[in-house]
Formats: sequence, structure tokens, C-alpha cells
Amino acid sequence: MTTPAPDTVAPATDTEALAVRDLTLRYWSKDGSYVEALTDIDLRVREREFVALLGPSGCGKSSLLRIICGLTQPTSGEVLYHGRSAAAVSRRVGLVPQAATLLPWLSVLENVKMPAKILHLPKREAHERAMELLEMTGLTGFTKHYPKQLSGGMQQRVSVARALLHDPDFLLMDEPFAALDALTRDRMAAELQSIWLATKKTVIFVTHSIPEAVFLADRIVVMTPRPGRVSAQFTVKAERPRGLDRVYPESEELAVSIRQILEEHEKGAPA
Amino acid sequence: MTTTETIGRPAGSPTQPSATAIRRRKTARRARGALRSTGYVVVALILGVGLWQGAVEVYNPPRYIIPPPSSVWQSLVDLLTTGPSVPGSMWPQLGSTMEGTLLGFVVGGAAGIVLGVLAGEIQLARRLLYPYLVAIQSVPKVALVPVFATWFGFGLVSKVSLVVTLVFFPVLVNTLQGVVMSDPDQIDLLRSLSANRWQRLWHIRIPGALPLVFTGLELGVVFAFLGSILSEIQGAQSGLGVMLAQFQTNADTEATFALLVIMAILGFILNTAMRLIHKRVVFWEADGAAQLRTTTQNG
Repeated sequence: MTTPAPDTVAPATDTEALAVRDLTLRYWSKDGSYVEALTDIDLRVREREFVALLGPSGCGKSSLLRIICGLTQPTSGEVLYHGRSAAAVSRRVGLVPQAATLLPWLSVLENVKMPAKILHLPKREAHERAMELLEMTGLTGFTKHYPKQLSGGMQQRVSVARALLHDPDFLLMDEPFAALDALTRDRMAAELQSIWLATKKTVIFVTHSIPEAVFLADRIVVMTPRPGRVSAQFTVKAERPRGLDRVYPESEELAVSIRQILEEHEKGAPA
Repeated sequence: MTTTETIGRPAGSPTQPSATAIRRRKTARRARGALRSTGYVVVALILGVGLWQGAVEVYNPPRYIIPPPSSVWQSLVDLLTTGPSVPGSMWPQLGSTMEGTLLGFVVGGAAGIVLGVLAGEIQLARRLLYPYLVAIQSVPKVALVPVFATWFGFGLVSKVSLVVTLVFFPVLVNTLQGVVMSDPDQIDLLRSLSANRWQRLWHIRIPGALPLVFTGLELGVVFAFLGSILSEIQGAQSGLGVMLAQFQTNADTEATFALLVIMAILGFILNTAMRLIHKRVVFWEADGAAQLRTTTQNG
């Protein structure tokens, strides 16, 4: 289950899985100023697509992800999953937060099974599925360990396995590898690619790393700093599965143009 | 000689010690550490008692003011060896004190945890409880002894009542804080799964509060013992505190000192037992964090 055969590589379909329409988020910050965090966000994500939300810190990409998972209410606009509102279908979402956010009092296996408890899924099926996912993430030997005993990369793998337990349609990832060292980060990206190829989820991946976005995504959505808005979108055409040890000239060029855009944003040039 | 040769191990030897070997070495190191700290305690005690004995022999104060350690030791042996059936034995008194301590600890601790969770989870409960918390905290608890005596007499109920008021507060405050301060990321994770309020409380807030709950209980068990003795000194039918008051009336300072030693040992045992339970239950807590918290709150 770790490395899918080429014929299981399912490209994104044309079905629209997620639509974000005219989304704005404004709020009063703690220091009393009125913050316009997101403005006029329009985003369409196709089924099984891997979309990277890329932007500098403070561009509201994490806020956008929170709105997509239903954790934050937008000031205006709406999020539709397969044409339905987010509130009704939030069980179809698996969240991988920035910190692994494992529950320290539960073992690795119990952590992965946690969503089953919340969603009242049948116990035996949840157990079998958890064991499968732990195998897929290379954690079979660590089921009885506790989070404290794991490295950062392993904790994040548990977090990914947990997000997949209830077989959600969407995997929402908020800079999941940001806290890891560079080597672990690369390896995790490669593993995420094979998990994605094997599980056929629609992924929304928030990151501030251009190489990460270019390596992983089908499409990169670049956001401006405050107020956050979508400034550009790029399709990454490099074929799957992509390898860390290979050079994709087209992707390299793409990375350069994205970097230019981000630098322009920083100078305050109009997007 | 090349670098590889210098670093490399001879062929055939394991590059990594086995897991059992590592564990054994860790256990051995811990045992050595424990032995060493016990050694320091013994040396400190010998030094202290020696100084005490020496000072008494040099200055020769009246016995009812400072008895020599040798006669305190004699009293201690007498107290410990007089069987429960002999009149005047310490053991039934000790039992009575422990009964009050543990009963009060359980009742006060349970009340503290339940109300702490309630007040932590429900803001209205927190606000309504707040003035009472301030009042309970502000009243010197000893001043309640006569009130309890009026209501419940000089028996177990009075003693337990005082203990409960002493244990209740630290347990409640710590539990409340633990429940309120739960990790917002963990809460968000559950909310992303549409967890309801009850699920968030049961799966995150309560287990997340356990480290602080046990900090409260560690303080509470010390206060429970204190409250029991305090209530007995103020007037009760039985208990170590009653014995202590009698010894003092008889100017039997040796026995008073011996009893103080026994109380110190009991207090130490209670505290240590609670610490061990804390470590066992809240096994995921970082080493040292718990102790630091208890120490700062005590001081």
C-alpha cells in the first residue's frame, strides 16, 4: 500500500469538490484595530486535486483553512463541499494541524483511533483501519508508544494517519511539516505524495515553502499579505510520482516566478 | 591510520547496545542516584542530631525546654512499641487522625474536582462560585473550628469538616485552571470532527487538566493531615493532636518531640504516596514539571 502502481495514479477529476465563494474575514484584533484578514477569496478545488495555498506568514492562509474546516466563521461568503454548506459535512474533513497536536495521554494507536470515538464509528473497523494507516505511514512498530517518545517527524505521521481514519474526502493540512528539519521535511513530502496517490483524497495544503508547494501540488494558489487575497494561480505539470532526486525544469522556472511574485508583494507593489 | 579505522569498531561487535542493556544501565544509574541522595540524607541527619546532642550537653538546658535526642529517641521507641491494646497507646490515636485525614481528603478532593470541572467548563458557574471562593480563601480555616464544634460536636464529623474546607480549595483552583487552560489546538482538532461540548470536555479538557488536578491533590493531602491535627489540638475526642496537647499539659517535652517526629514521617509518607500516584496516573507529564509547580504553589 506504500507505493502505488502507476495505474492507480488517479488524476484530479473535473468534478468540483470544494468551492469558496466571495469569502471575506474581518475582525477586531486584541489591540483594538480592525483587521481585514481575507478579501474576496474565490477558490475552486476539483475532486482529488492537490492544492497548495502559498503565501508569507500573516497572509491569512491559515485563517482560510480554518474557515474551510468550519473552525472560523467568515464575515461573508460561503464554503461549499460538493455544493453543500460546510456545517453539514464537516465529518468529511481530516485536519492535520501545524503542531502534530497528538493527545499525550493516548498511545499512537489510540491517537489514530480518536476520530472514531468522536464520530461513533464501529470499533473493530476503526481498529483495522488504524492498523492499515499505521502500516502505510511506517509506524507499525510504534503502536504502543506515546507521543512523547516519538520524533517530530513520527508525530506528524501519526497526525496524518489520524486525519485519514474516518476516510474523509478532504485532507486539510496547515503547514504540517513547518516545524521539522529540512531532511525530514523532504522525506515527509515524498511520503505524503505516495499517501495521496494511494488514498485519492482532495488535499488543501497550506505552506510558506515554495519548493514544498512545487514538489507536492497540482495547483499552487499564491496569496498576498494582509488583506489576504488570491494573487496568482499556477498549475504544476510535472508527472507523478515526482521524485526528490529528479529535476523538473518547468517546476524550477515556476518556483522562480512564484518567488518574484512573493517579492513584489513584499515591496508592496500592487498584486 | 585512516579515520575510518579509528572510528570503526572491530568486526563482529554490535554497533548499538541492545534495548535491554540500555534499560538495565538506566535502572542501575537511577539506583545509584537514589542511593547517593539517601546517603546525603543520612549524613545530614547524623550531623543535625549530633549537633543537637552536643549543644544539650554543653549548655545543659532544662529538660522540659530542650530534651537531648537520646531521651527523645527513648520516647519514640516507647510510643512505637506500646501495642494498640495497652491504654495510652499511640496507635489508636494515629488511626483516628488518619481516618479524619483520608476521609476529609477524599470528600474535599472529590468536591474540589467536581466543582472545579463544572466551574472550568461553565462560565456562569465560575462567576457564581467566585465570591465564595474568595471568601473561603480569605477566612483563616482554624477560625471555623469553633463553628464546626457547635454544629457537630468534638467527633469525627467536626474533624472531617475542617479537613474538607482545607483540601477543597487548592484542588478546586487547580482543577479549574487545568480545565480552562486546555490546549486550544486540541480543542480545534475535536471541533474539526464536529465533537460536541461533552466530547470536548471528556476527551480533552478533563484529561488535559489531570496534571494540575494532581498538583492540587498533592497540596491537598498535606493540608488534610494538617487540618486533622489542628482540629484535634483545638479539641477532639481522639487523635495524635489530642495526644500532643496532653503531652504538653504534662510538660512531657521528650514525648512531644517524639510525636512531632512521627507526624513529620506521616506527612512525608502521605506526600510521597500522592507524588507517586501523580507520576503513575499522569505518566505523560514532563519530568520535573509537576514538582516545580507544587513547590512554587507551596511557597
